[in-house]
Amino acid sequence: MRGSTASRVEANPIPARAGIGLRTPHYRDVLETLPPVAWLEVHSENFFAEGGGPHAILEQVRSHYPLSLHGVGLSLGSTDALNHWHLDKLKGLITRYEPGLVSEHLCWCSVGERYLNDLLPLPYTEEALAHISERIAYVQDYLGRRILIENLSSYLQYAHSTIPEWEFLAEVAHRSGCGILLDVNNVYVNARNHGFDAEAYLSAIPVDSVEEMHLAGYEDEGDCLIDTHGRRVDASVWLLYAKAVRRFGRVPTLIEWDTDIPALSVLLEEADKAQTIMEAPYARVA
Amino acid sequence: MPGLHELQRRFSDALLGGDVDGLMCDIRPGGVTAARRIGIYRNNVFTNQREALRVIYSVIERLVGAEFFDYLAEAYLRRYGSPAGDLNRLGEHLADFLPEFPPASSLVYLPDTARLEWLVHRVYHGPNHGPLSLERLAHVPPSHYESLRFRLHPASGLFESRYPVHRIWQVNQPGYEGDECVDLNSGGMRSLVERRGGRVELRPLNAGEWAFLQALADDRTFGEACDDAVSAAADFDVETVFSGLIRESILVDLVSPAL
Repeated sequence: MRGSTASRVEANPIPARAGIGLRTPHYRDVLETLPPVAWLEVHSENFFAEGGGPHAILEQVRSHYPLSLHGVGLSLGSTDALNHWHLDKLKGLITRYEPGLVSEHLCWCSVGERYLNDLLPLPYTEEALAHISERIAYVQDYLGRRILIENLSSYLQYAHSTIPEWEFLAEVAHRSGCGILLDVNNVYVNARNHGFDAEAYLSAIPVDSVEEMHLAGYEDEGDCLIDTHGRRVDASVWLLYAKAVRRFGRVPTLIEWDTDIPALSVLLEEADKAQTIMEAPYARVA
Repeated sequence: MPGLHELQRRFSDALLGGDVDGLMCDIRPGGVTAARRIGIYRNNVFTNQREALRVIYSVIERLVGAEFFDYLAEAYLRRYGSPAGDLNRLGEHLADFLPEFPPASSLVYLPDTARLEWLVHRVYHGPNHGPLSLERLAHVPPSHYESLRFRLHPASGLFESRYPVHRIWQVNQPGYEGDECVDLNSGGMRSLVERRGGRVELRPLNAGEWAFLQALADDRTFGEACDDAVSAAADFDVETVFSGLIRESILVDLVSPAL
């Protein structure tokens, strides 16, 4: 699957360094100051429009930085037919920008053609496993390239789930041939919300499958941790990240911030911190 | 034990205000209550969708206030939902929904304002297109002029209202510093909504320009468009208006069955 598109991917490799998620409030700042960050990631859907300002910006971004496309709306786990309008838009973006990485989520977001525009958890059952693995394999064929699949934060577990989340994720990668985008904050949030051991989760994920990691801040609402992407990365998540680096080695790592977005400099500081840990995962951090 | 499709249907029902009992039974008990867990998702879903509407309909929000806008957005979302994983496609029917929404029905100019904001949103994201090649026009024999059809820039649209909606839109743009008064009885407006240097602008049109562009947008011929324009405004100067529309990339393509 990689063969036919290898040269395109190599034209824009995402380095095994720290990057940041680029969001609207920082477009101008990034293009005017060209901060020394190793790579940038955008939400694919924000560039589904045919023309206009957003593309003018992304063209410039792409000329200065390695670029990764991260989707939030393909609804891979939905029982609706795959949305080919969405898939064709994504394919068009890939052709146009030649991103180094393309990723999506281990989730569903629509049913009956109605979209909930949120990353909703699947039950971890054989049925769901077979369904999403097949769809990911189809999408990879359709796009002519491998994609990465990210683990979610979740606020409930289904009574009829029969497979632990980490086994489900590893098996999806095994069956579909996709890579894993390991969101370390999401592992931590779920471990706290559902009472499992975050390190055991990491140990269950095959070392070679993790090709990118995400880091973000959560909100502690007392009874539940909410993955808001609205704060700095928590100290416990940095520690878990250091452990992840020891297991998975250096992989591209992204700082995400989506609500109460602060000055660009704050994201760059967080990226520097990730870079430091990546280079010395045994050092004391935080 | 529900199958995957049944589970997703129950989840969606529980979030969108229908039956929550189905999903409640599917949630593993323990710790936080099932109702609280569903509440977290409901809040995430409505927040994401409402914020997307707020960006597209920023003028409506300024006119009705943030709190009323949240109420309106939630009612709209329950009625129409979201059609895509791309939040830029959410909100197309707000102008149709507003007259059916009693708390807003006394604000008669709101539906047209929403219609304009949706058009602005579409124009902002519309396709790019280069200017019409004058060389192509030069190759058309004069005897074919009448039957030519012209295309407006794909990132543009014609907009008409009986209310001064363009004024309402302009005074509610970020950074506007002029007089904020709008006289609702100051009459209607017709304009071309277009994109210049990445920004969306409203160009007021007189009766002749409106009739001319409206006819071309309706896929009628250059000859018919000239007739319409002259009927609407006897002093319509085809040559000046037409060359301006080409020069400013408002008309960007031509179709001639004979070529």
